[in-house]
Amino acid sequence: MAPQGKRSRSSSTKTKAPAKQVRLTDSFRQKKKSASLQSVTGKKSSFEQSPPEASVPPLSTPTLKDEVEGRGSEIDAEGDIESQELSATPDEEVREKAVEEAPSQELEAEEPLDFNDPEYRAYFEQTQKVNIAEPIHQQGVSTVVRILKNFDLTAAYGPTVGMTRLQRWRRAEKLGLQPPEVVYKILVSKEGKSMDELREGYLYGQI
Amino acid sequence: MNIMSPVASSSALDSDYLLSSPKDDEIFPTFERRVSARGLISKYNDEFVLKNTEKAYEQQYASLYFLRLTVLKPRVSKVAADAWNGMSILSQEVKAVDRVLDVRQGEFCWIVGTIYIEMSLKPNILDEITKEFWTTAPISKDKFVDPQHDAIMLEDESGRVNLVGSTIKSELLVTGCVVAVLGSETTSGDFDVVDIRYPELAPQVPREISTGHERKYVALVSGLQVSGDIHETYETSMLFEYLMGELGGSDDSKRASEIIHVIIAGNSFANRDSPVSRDEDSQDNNSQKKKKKYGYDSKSYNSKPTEALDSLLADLSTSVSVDIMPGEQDPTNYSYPQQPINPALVPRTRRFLGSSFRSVSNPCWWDIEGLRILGTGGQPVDDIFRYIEDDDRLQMMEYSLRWQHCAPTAPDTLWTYPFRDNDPFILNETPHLFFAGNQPEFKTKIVDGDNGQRVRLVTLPKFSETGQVVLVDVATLACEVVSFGLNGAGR
Repeated sequence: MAPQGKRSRSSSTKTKAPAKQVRLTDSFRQKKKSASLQSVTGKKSSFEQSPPEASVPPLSTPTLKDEVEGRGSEIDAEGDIESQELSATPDEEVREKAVEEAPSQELEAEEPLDFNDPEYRAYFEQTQKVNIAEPIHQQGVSTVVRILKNFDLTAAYGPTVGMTRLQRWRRAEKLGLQPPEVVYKILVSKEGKSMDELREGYLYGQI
Repeated sequence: MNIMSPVASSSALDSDYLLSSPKDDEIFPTFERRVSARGLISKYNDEFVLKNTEKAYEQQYASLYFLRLTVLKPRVSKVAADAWNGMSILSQEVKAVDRVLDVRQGEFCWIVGTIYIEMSLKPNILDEITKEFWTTAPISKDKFVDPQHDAIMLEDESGRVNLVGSTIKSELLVTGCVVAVLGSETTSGDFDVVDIRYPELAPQVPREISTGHERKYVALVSGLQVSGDIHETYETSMLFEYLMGELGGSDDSKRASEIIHVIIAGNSFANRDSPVSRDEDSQDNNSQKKKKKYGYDSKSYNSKPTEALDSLLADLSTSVSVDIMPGEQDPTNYSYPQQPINPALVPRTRRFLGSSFRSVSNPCWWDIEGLRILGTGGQPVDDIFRYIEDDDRLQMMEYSLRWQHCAPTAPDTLWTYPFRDNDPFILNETPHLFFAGNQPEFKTKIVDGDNGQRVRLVTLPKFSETGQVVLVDVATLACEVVSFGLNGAGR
């Protein structure tokens, strides 16, 4: 059943995907072209035959929203970082939690990213309210890329150099800074994990 | 002939008991050592020991400072708010300011940030470059402080502000500690400090003090400097014999049986040149390549310290549980936190790995029968010593606890790994015993916190210089020193 499910999804977006190429900034154009071609051909092959790509069988993939919320409630249940670490029988509890979290990370659904989700545009407009001027040289850039760059430039989540955006997001969440879940959704999608431009910070390749 | 009852033979000991002739029916008391619960607190130690797959060096040290500020800022803000909220200076109410650069002139406010002290005498990497052009030899000093010219600044993610005022000059501060300061901005843009607050001692896990008759001790020793050559001092072998209960009369054996755990805190391997090198140094410049046998160059590698320490530890591990912690001169990585010494260096002792021998990281947290111990090999304290005027090392350790950070000068002057996800030196709890090894002398004091915390601070002297080992009573936190020497002669 699972491959069929995937097939229907890819068939609905298949016509969209080649038409809507993401407009890319210059520094990434070369890397990106090969990556985007791969993703498109990957979808094609999954349509035609049982794919090596669907070898990660999503049995009953929870939707991303549920996952993020579940994760949020897990953090709430743990309470303050300080009080958690002072429990009298610390070691086993900490190890069990680590074991619990590891499988949930593997089961993150690799949904394909819809670059034109209106939610992204709404979120981005909201983040830009504090700014006086429009971002410069970003006329043709997609909203997703703009959101991620804005996430990079937010000083509250710390330095961006030397780590992927997802690592930075996770670190910010662990410190209790409540990073935006929209960004998380983008970063755990299939494109968010495979495309360099989305996965790495804006200074990747330069520093 | 005196017939001594079995009870009397252990209790009524004359001063020349050891020198008198043996009695026929004397029964020697045997003492047994209790097996105790001595564990490592893995949730802290796991952050010090880096897994091989996770040592990435692409990140920069800014992450470490960001983590430190983000975790400690709420804690120090709470202490500052408790102290200063509602206070008014010159009929003006003080308020908290979020960013360091948002202070306004004439307004009394308090800000939180990381201290950075600009020191002209601090060794600078750029000096290495200028050394190529100038030939002045650098003067090696103990301290790099220049009280007249050092500038103290407070930094957060927005920027830095200069701290001035007599209050700040008299405080013990080093680069890297997170503090809250109250004051106002002067006309020149500096921040005139009126009052300062630290995060203060972290919460402490309460400890049940067992009221049994048996006393239990943890033995702490550091700076063994085992060299293995003929001139090896007797004090080292006396120490190991004492810990195994083989030295002295039954009183000493009884005391040794009450030691439930031994921690060897740093600098156990001596730096000794190979004895070959001194004679043949001048002759063999050409034939150096021939000398390589058995995979190592025998001119520069001397295996005697390792072998000597291995045999001593193997003997000791048969009798008591031992933990060995690396120090500055030990064969492990140089940067702090130091990874555990690879047990392959001590093959005979390695057999006891998992039962009575353990190699731990520097620093390390222990939990021994409910006593929570934080131990370092002394590098953070030595580093703080270089950058402040005082000499009181116990005060530096106390301030480490009050700053809730055991190595504040990392990464500025103490080499460390560029941690990305957490700063493992932040103290989330206060230990019951905090020791630093390889210090010049033995000193100890008790520090009391605001919420009933009680810590015993101990500086361990170098055994190779003083011959002292410290015994800490697990139940009462009392400290005793056992000294080993030959005929009371100084070393």
